[in-house]
Amino acid sequence: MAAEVAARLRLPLVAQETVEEALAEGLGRGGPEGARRLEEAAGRVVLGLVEASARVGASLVLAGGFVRGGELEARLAGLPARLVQLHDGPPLELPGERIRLDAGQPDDPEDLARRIRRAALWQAVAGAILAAPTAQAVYRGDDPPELAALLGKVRRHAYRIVDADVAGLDPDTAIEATLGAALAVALAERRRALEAIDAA
Amino acid sequence: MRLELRHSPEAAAEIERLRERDGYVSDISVALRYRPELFSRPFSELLQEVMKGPSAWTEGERELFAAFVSARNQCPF
Repeated sequence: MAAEVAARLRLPLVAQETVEEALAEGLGRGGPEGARRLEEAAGRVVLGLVEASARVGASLVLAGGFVRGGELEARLAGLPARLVQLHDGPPLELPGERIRLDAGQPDDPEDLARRIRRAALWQAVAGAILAAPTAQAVYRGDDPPELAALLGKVRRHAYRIVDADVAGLDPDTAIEATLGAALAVALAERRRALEAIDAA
Repeated sequence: MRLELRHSPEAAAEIERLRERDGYVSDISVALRYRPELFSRPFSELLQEVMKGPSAWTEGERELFAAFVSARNQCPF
């Protein structure tokens, strides 16, 4: 499935299993202890590739049998990258979107690729908005007092905003705050919608 | 009173061109040209993918969904 998704996204695939097999071919397995060390080495190679890609802003598909609480999870979480996680077991504790694979029926790779692409684009929107400090504060719910009335309307009923609500406001502050408030509501609504679709 | 947006010279010139061509420029066009890196550039990419990208729904059906949601939000766009 990872290979099919990577092909559709036109991204390189880094598969832990492939790395491990290549290492075993070159070094031999050498019994249970050797196999354990090969697995560990493969994990480190994979991490190195992922971190190097993230540093230059390149995208890739990473495939492996990753478990919670490992070094890989901690280091992936610290990457300056947008992550979309596909999982069929317990997901790793990583920022970004999670897509649960359906164990009962095969997933359509085209559909998965589309969901990943859209999730990444949503993260790009969120990242751009949250790069602005005022937007980030408002997104967290830390509203500047002078904007409380405006932001209340943005969150509940934006169509009720009138000219008087923005009179005298600094344009950059008003726009950044509005985007931060709107983003928080939009992402919450989107999460609810995706959960409803998954549950259907 | 509306927000007085200080557009970049390039964006201001583009808005002026639109005004000359069409006789008016919508508020949404003016807003989207303000600091595009903050919202409109990444959002336009997302919008393009969602509305025009591969989907089980036709473009017309997606336009209909968008119009329905806008109507629910009392948004004329």
